[in-house]
Amino acid sequence: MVKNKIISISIITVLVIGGFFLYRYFFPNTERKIIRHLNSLVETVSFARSENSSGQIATALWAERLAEYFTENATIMLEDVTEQIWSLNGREQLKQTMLAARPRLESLDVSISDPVVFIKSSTTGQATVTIKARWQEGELDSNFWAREAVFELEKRDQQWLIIKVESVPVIRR
Amino acid sequence: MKRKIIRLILIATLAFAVFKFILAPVWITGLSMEPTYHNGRLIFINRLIYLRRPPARGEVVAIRTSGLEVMYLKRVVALPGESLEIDNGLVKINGKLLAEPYVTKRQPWQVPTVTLEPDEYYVIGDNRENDAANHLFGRVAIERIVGRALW
Repeated sequence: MVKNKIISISIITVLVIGGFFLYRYFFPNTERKIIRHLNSLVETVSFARSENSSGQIATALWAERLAEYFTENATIMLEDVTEQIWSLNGREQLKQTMLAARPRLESLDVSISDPVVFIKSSTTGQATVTIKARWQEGELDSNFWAREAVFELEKRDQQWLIIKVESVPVIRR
Repeated sequence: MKRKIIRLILIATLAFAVFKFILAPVWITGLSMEPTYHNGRLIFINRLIYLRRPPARGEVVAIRTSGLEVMYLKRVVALPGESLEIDNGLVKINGKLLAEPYVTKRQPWQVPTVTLEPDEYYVIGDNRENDAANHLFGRVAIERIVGRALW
C-alpha cells in the first residue's frame, strides 16, 4: 500500500517536473527566446574543419544567414586579442567581412555563456553574455578569445534582431 | 545499505555546496600566468576569502565576466588609490619599484602613470614575454574580483 503510494507520488512528481520543462521549451518567455536567438547565431557562425571545404556559394550563403540575425544598420564593436576595437557598421559590411574571413580559417567555434537578459520593453531587450571563440588558421595552434559583450536587440515582425554588439571592458588600461 | 545511501547523498550534497559556493574549480586556458600557472592546469578559487578582507598585492585573483564560467586569472600589483607606472617593463607603485620575483622574463612595456579609483585594482599576468598589446592587463573594479587562487 505504502509502496504503491510512493510509486504514485514519484510518477506524479516526474510528470509535473517533465511537464514544466516541456512547457518552458515549447512556450519560452521573452528572455528564453532571446537566449535561443543568440545561441542560434553562434551555432550558425561556427564551423568545423570538415565543413570548411565548402565552396564560394556555400560561404556566401553562410554569410547571408549570419547577416539575417542583425538589423540593416547594426553596429558591432568588439575588442580583439590586442585590445583594439574591431568595428563593423551595417549588415553589408558584416557580410563582406565574414566572406573575407572564412577562407582564412580552418575552423571556428563560438559559444556564449552566463547570459543575463534585461527586457526593456515589449520590443527591445538587452543581453549581457560572455562570448568564447576558438579558431584555427592554417596549421597553427588554435587561438582562444573570450570577452564579455552586450547585445541590444529589437523585435521586428515577431523576430528578435540584433541592433548593436559591444564589448564590455572588464580589465582596462 | 540505507545508511550507506544516506551517507553518499550527504557527501554528494557537501561536495556540491563546497565546489559551487566555496572553492570554484577553474581550468586554465592561455599563457598569461606562465610560469606560475600552466595552460591546461586545474586550480581552485577561494570565493570566501574576500568576504573577510580586501585583495592584497601579490595575490592571484579570479576576475569574472558576465558570470563565472569564464574568468580571468591575474595578479594584483596595485591597490585602490595608488598610482602605477610601467617603465621599460618594470612596475613602479607610487614611484617606487615593485619587486616581482614571479616574473622570469619581461618585455620593455611602457604604460604611463595611472591613478586607481577607490574601488579599482591593477592586475597583470605573470607572463611578460609578449608585447603588451598581446596581454590583457589593467584596472579592474572590486566587484569583478571573485576570489583568490588557492595555491
